[in-house]
Amino acid sequence: MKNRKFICLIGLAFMLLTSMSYAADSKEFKFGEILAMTGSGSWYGMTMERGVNIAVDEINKDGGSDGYKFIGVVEDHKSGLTTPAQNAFRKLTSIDNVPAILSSFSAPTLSIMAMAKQKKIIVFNGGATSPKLINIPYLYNTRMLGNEIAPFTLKYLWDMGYRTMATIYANQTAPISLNDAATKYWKKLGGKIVSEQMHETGATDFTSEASIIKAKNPDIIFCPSTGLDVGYVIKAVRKMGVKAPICGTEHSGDMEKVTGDASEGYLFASEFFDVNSDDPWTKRFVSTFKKKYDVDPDFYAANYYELTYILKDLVSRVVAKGGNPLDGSQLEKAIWDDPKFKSIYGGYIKFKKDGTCEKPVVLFEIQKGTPVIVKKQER
Amino acid sequence: MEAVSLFLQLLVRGLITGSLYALLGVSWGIIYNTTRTFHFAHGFVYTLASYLILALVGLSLPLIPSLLVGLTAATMAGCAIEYFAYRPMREQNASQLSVFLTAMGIMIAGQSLILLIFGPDSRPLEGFPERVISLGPVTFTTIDLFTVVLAWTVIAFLFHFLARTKAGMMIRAVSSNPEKATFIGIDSKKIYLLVFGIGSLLVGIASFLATLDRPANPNIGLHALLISFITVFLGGVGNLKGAVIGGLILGVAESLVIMVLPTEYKMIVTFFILFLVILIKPEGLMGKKSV
Repeated sequence: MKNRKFICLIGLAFMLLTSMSYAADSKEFKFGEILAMTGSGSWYGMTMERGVNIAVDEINKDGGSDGYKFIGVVEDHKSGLTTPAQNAFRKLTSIDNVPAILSSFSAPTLSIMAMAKQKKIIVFNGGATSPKLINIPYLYNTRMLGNEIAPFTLKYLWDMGYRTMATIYANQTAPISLNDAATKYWKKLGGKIVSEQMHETGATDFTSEASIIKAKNPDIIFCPSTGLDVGYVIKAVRKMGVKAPICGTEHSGDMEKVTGDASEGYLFASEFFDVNSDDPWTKRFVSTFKKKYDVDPDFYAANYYELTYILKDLVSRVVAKGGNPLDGSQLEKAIWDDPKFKSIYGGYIKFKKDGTCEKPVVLFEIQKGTPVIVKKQER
Repeated sequence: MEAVSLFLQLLVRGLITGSLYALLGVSWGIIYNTTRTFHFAHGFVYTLASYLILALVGLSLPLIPSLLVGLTAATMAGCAIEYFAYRPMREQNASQLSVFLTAMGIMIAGQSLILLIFGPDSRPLEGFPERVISLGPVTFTTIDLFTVVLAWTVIAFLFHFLARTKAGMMIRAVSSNPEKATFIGIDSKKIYLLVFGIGSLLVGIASFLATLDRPANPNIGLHALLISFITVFLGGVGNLKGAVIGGLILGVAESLVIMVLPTEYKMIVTFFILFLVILIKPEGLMGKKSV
């Protein structure tokens, strides 16, 4: 009897010790991802999450960041809605206790920033483009914002001799501010705005708007909406027989499902992620992504892959100083130890004090259903 | 000149949209006028028809057989909702509110099921030749033309059926006075089942036409439902011709209003028209004043 008790005691002690050592070894770094997982922009969420997943797999395979296993917790802002984004933020910070969040879309990102500042949660955006995302405490953008990419596209069309412009944009933060920036820039160049139409986000019927555009007969059409909205606009405008060039700031990989051939000639500027780059890190990412998902990664996937590695570096920096990487304010301070981070685009990206950074920007044109570079930005 | 061209273009657009709205109106109106059931689940039947057609076309079945299967399924779904949900409730003298809540539950559950099975992505229906037709300042497509022709053919056939066939006359009898209709030997239960079948078939056709023009997503049913009942209340409850007129007015108003207001206010205008009609003529444009 005594022996049996003794064996049980040893067994219990063994279990306790092993669980303690497991707990000591299994440090976790949970971070949030508030992305568009459903709705008209669900394609963005899918590709961004893929980028993060590959980075997380690689980081954990290499033993994590200073022993911290990376775990991404995905939440859905339903393609740009602020209430789901705020609910996701509350869940991530009060239940999952994340110190950092990767966000996307302007309105959801802006809607969580007051809470992020209060709770000292660092937020990274690699997808939204509104110029309103500049100079916000605790927010860092690795996506080129609309104040740079919209004028780049418009100048190209201006130089081609186009002078009148019609705009059509979604009733969301980014499209509204992009429309504002674009119309001001076009007027500054000496151009004329013949019509400005705001549409409901997620709408699919743009025939009335296209009728107005047809009647106004503009030289070019600027549509800074996001997701499939752009596709529906293009389809409706072309169905009306309007042949003027259409440009925007976004191209989602599933747009051609909606437009078919109608997207031919659509122009948009964005970061240039070169899948044929010779950079060894880029090569490894491209090959892993292609192997896992059977497609080349786009710049959204690249941005969120890169952001996950920026988080890894920040965790390392905080740990090296003897700090706590689960504290968002310490992660934020660590950025300014050295604002340069290795970039998946090759070389380095450097954060500026206003929370932005610079990346190579190019102008794409859809040719035979594929984006083809027509102009590179000179810096 | 620019304003005239725009007016003509928007008017034609409004008539195309109005034709679809008129079809949606009669599809819901025939059910409501006859059974006085606020069939909220009509939106689910609309979505179901669209997704079944899409799924079958996706499985490489040609468009016409897919359409026929989709319409049959929509008709059966409408009848099943009446038979298994509304009828037992009516037999237990359930309140209008209970029936409405049940219908809403079916709508939400059905929509969620479609979302679960097919995912949130938009799905275009391919296989119909689409070409642009320009007549002076007016542009439309072969799909628009097909929509107008089919919608009005179906509406004309429905009115002919109601006016000239025995079943149609029985529907009208139950619709105008269910108690008297029972006295003369009409089985109102069978008539209810018949109108749910007809209404669901019509909404299936409307759904097919709408999906030809723009891709479907799991939420399309709600807008279709809104249009359906606004059209009926606008035209006048109890008068199916009113639903047709209501649909046309709504389509044309929504289209023309963007000459003076931003397009995002289209839906506000729809409700404003409904509000005005209810305020000035509560029985609807073609409805009869109750004594």
